[in-house]
Amino acid sequence: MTELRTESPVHVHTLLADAFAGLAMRDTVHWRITAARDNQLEAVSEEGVRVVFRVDGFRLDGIEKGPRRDVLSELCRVLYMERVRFPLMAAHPDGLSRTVMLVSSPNAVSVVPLPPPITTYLLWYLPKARRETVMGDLEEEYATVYRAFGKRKALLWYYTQVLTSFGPEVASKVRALAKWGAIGWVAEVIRQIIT
Amino acid sequence: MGDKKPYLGEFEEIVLLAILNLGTNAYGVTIRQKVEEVTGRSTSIGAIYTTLERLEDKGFIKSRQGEATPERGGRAKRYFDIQGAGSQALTDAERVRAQLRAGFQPAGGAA
Repeated sequence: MTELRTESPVHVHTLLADAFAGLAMRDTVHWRITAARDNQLEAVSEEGVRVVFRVDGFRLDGIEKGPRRDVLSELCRVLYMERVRFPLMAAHPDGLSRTVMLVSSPNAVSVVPLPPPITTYLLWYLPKARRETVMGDLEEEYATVYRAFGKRKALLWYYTQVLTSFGPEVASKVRALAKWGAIGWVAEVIRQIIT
Repeated sequence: MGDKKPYLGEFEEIVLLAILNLGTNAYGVTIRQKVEEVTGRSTSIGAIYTTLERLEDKGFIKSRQGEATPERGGRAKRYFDIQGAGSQALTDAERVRAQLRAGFQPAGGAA
């Protein structure tokens, strides 16, 4: 069991990174959240693997089905998307889990700043091929700007980046509208959703 | 009609050179920062990715999935590597520039 000392509010990503330090996180498994209750989150992977994340005080047990790094990576993503900021305990079917005990402490706080969620949702309009990478890049830089210049400048930087990211997308739609009218516009929107 | 080589725009050339400069650590964030640092111009991540996708379509660069980090919300990085065609395009652009520059005297320069 790994013990981490921290204090609230703390970001789960940082704790996970500390707990699994040195672990290569290269691949991502895609999960779909099927149910979210007060203390439980259920998800199913593309391969049909079902996972349940359960809240249990300050305990967090890593769950995995397949390589641990995939699950850790995905767990980070799920926690972020759901804005979960509390430790979780996940049921583990294969006995391969690693346990992390979180203990409150006045010292050793480590916080990863998150960009505003409403603006982040706008990025879902970007083409699928580019979306995840752009979101990741913006989030990484947001944290850097936040630490260097503070929240206000980080927010301003983030809003500007998100809005300017749409420039090429808007231009392609305007071109389609000018050429083909409303049908062209709809076709362009459908094309972006599919590709 | 001869072979038509893909055209390399000014911004495309800058991005390509940034990738070359960054080596194995060329992904969206570092490329954007490098371009800003060298040109002194504010550049959006959207503009960088539009250019990167165009360069990839032209066969100048190739992308590969990288690692996911907690700072990225568990999302994977996308690294870019320059390809042979990309190096050739840069060489060609440099050659054209050198040819055009031959005999050019900068304003205020020594005679």
